[in-house]
Amino acid sequence: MRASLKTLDPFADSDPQALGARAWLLPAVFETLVRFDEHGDPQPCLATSWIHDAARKRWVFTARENVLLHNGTPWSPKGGVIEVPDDRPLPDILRELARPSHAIVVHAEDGSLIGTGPFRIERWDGEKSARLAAHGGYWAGRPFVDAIEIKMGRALRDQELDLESGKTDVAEILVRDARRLRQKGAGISATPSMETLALVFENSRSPDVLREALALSIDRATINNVLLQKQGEPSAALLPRWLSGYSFVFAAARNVARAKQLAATSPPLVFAYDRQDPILRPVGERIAVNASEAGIILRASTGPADVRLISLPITSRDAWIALEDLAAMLKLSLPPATSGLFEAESALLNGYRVIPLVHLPQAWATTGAVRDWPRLADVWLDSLDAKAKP
Amino acid sequence: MTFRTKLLLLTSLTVAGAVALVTGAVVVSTRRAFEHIDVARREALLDQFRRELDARGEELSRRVEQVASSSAVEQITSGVAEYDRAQAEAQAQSLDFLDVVEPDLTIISSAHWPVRFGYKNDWNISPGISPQDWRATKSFLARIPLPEGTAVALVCARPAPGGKALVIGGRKLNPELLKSLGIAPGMRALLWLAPDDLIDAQGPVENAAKLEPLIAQVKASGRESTATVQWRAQRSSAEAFLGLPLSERGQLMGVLLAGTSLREETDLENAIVWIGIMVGGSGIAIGVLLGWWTTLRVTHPVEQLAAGARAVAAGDWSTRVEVSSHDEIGELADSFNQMTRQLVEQRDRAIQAERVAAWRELARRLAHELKNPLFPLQITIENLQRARERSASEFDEVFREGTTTLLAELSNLKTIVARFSDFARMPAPQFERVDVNELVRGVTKLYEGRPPISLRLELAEGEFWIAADSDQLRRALGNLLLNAMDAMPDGGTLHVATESIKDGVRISVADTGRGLTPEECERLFTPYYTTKHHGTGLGLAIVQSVVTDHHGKVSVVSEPGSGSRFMIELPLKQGDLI
Amino acid sequence: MVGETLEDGARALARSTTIHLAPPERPHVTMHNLTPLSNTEAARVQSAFERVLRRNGRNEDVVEVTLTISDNIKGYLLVAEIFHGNERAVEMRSVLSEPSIAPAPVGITVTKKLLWEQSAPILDLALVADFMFVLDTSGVSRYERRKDKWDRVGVLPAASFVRDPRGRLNLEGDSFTIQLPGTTCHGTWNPSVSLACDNGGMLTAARNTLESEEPLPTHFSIARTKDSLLLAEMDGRTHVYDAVGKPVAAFEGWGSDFAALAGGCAANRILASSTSYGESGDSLVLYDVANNAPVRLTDPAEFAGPVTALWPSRDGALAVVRNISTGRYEAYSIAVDCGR
Repeated sequence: MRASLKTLDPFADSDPQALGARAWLLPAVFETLVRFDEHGDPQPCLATSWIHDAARKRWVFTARENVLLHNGTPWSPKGGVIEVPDDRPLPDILRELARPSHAIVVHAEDGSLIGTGPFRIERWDGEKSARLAAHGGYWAGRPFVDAIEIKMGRALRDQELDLESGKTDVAEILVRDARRLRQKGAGISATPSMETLALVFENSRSPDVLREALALSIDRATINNVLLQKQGEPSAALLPRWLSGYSFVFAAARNVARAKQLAATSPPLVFAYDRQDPILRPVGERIAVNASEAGIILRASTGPADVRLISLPITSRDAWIALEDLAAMLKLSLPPATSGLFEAESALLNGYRVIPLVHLPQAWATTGAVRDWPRLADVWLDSLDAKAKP
Repeated sequence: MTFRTKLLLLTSLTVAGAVALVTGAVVVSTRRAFEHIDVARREALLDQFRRELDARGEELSRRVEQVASSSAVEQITSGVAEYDRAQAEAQAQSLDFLDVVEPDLTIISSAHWPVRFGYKNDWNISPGISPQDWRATKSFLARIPLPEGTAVALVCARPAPGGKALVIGGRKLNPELLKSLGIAPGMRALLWLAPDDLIDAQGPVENAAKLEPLIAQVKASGRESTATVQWRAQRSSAEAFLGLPLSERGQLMGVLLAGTSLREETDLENAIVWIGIMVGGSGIAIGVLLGWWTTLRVTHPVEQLAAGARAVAAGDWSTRVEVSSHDEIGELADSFNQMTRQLVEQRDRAIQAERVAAWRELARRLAHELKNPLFPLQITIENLQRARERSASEFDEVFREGTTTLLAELSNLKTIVARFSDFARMPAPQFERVDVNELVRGVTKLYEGRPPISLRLELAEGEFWIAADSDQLRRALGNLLLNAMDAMPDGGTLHVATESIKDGVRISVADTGRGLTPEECERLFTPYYTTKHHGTGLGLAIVQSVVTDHHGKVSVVSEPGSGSRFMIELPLKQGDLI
Repeated sequence: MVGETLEDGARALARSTTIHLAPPERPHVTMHNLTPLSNTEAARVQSAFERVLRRNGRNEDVVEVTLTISDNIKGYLLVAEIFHGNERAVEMRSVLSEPSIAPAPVGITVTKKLLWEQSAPILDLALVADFMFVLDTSGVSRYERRKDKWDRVGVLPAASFVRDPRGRLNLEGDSFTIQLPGTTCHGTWNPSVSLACDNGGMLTAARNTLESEEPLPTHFSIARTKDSLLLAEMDGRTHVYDAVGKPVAAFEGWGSDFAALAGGCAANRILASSTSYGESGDSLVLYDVANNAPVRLTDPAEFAGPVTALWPSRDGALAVVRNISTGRYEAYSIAVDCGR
């Protein structure tokens, strides 16, 4: 995978690039009491059921039985329950408990991390590679594969070459390459939009009107249709529509005339993006061209910048958690949950400190033998097509 | 300025002038010749450049034609290909720039700036030209906008089959273009490309600020311009440039700069000048030698002659000039020697004559002086003789009167003899410090208060110390005073003054008597010359003698009827004595 | 809201949209459908929205309102944007799909079998040999199976004039007991039919709640398991009491009809319907109640309408469902297949 993770410790900080990868890998190793299903609803995981008092201040979670930690010891909380008393009401406790930071993690004496998930960490070479081995005593049944070997920090082109040469069973791909690779015989898996390309202003030096002008100058539709081959969802919202449902409410239409008006006599902006990234680079270049049409000069830089094009990962199927994580990545404060998801997202987008552009799905190409990717717990290799492993 | 110096200067100037003239003429001709060569070379370079550009344009249009008729362009226009499809085609045809555009110049795919699709191509192409016309157009220069600025390129446009699109390709003007020009040694070609790139055959040119004025001039005027650029302090680093504008449809794309090094020319000129200097120098040296020899032959004898003349003027009339040459100078020397010989002889004769004259004068004067007292003596003795013969009583009275007169006249005679004796025996002066004013005061005191003559004393301020013999000076001054009073028998004003003169003092004694004629002035200081009816006439001679002994000068200014003014000028010092 | 239909959601959205409209303003609605919903269904949603939004008034100032049918992982999202010049207000209404629970262990299934359907509301139904007794709002009807057909052979009137009528029929040999709100009737059917009613019984008079001997909170349904008592109470939640009657927990998700089952793998397990408001299909699921919390054991058995009655029976349960499309009442025999 492209991202490099120093550790899978759910409590460690991680930069945005790696957050997406971590959110995807974590549940395979460390489980929470509650997890979200494909509808974003909390479902039992390590807690089989839960009850609360009338005021919802005291929750009692029933621990699942017959759960073994990776080291073979049983996980059995005292009394078979986990009580979560709190002074304030916790209507969102289920959501909180589904966060990776509330995963059940045991720190071994040697510093290694032990969880309850279908895979255990056999080896972790920080930021280079890792090996997850199947946890034989997994409560829901041992995974079908024996182990998953992960190479980190690998560029997309290299991943494709690894796939072709048989060095890997799974490679991350750009969605627009899916057709080509499918024609070559690869299996393609995709998830709905799990990353958002966005322009982020790194300081408050640029005036509001200039930021708004930049937002109005960008032609999202063309970026999506041509550069991304219609694989993304052009949007001015942080959360994709499959998660929030209302992304279209945030205006994404282009208005060059208005942008020109707002940007009149504005100073140039220093603009940075990863030139090695096969998506960020053409998108960044196109944005510069769009902006110049509105009279906004974006000066390329590889160092500190006024505005940066980055990819923000969607870390959860719960919209609030995803939004909270985005706010944390952007170092913006989020209004309290009582205000409503739409209001919270509107508050983040107010002032144009962040300008979302397009939501992109995540896609993988797999060798013909791989099935049920990317559900790691369910992945298996079709023996008819499986290659002999070294 | 000596003759030698004059001769030297003249020779040097003549030689230098001639050499400079010749050198200058040679340099100018050389320069003209070089200029002609330069012009010819530049023309050749420009011709070559144009041909090279045309050749590249032909090559470019072939490649663009290939792209236009390729299947890739078909894919691009039908929307099947990815937006950056043009990149592969550009690479295949080695094109730096490639845009596939719709007939209205909207970019469908761009090789050098892939994300510019959908925008209009702005290479100064005219839209709406029919495909047939496009097929016939030649390559032209254009400014290509890029993400990081602009570049100047040779560009060509060809329609795709079906007229659905136009393929515009270009190749950058780069050092390769200049490298391919065969340039004569000493020349080089640079290309300034808008907005601000300067390249030569090796690549970008740094530190070419000195070319900016020429480039600016070409930009402003839109026409050829020339300028000479001196790169360093040495003149040989200069380069003569011709700037030629490269324009396309009224827009300046660049400037071709053809430079010729002036090193050869400068070196040659320097050599010529050095030769000139050396020739001139040698000429001057030869001139110096010649001059020295000439002076040896000419000016030295002349100097000798001049020295001899000075010596003669100073009084040494026996000076002889030894000149051995037998030319005009030798003749001149001989004549000089002859002259001095004659002068000496004449002087001797004159001295002799003067002596004789002086003796005669003295004798006359003596005779005159003596005659006066002798006559009364004779008369008295005759009276006595007569008186003796007459009566004894008459004789006694006459005897008494007569002896008195005899004694008086004998005293007179004695005085005259004493005077002459004094004059003959005037001793050498004994110099001492003397206050002139004090001395004058002292002397005039003796003579003041003798009406009807009034004394007016006008002495210079302060003390006037000179080295002098005070006695002799008193005597001389006294004589002058006496003479002045004698000149005013009916009274007048006696004016005595002292004043400072350069290195000396002037004592003047003036009277308001009858004055003197010029002849009288001339003869005044001759012993025994007197205008007085009495006196020995030695007074002024004594004054003259004293003044001469004091190394001074005595003179008189007078006009008949206006009185006379005698002036004694004495130096302050006598040898080492002040 | 869970369980409400899209049209309900549209109506609710329209109500909150009217806040942004001043009295003389007339809305002009444009609809966008971003979901796989068919044009017909989308049109229905739009008309439900517009009907509520339509105002009486002078109709002079037109306000543009855009209704967008969108969806997300949780279900549908209806979004109304109200445009006043350059200003825009936004109202949203989620129409959630039923929160599903983790797939049940493979094996147990709930099976249904249609027994009888009629237009009058069925309150209960009992089968004995070839006879079928149907308790409905008019009384008890006896049917005999003749040639694979049920013929009505007798009817005992027992009127019940209650909104949301409920009734219970127990057969014991030749006699039976009928429970109606506030009334209990005993009767025989063989050899002759007789009926005698008294006041009282398990159903509260003039209500749709149940009565019990011990003092319990008002409830719609009651179920006992090994160590707990479950009541469907007035607040819409299921309350759990321990063996001594102390309340220990409460949870949502069940409807007001559930029944404790007996026998086989269904012992001590409860069959419950999903909460439903209105006119969508209900489903029945078998739950385990472990540690006072429900654990789903089976996939839902879907029905074409709401469950109006659910009673435990000898070999499972009896469920009465009102078919939304036909409007008729269907009685199903519910059984639990214990699988392999």
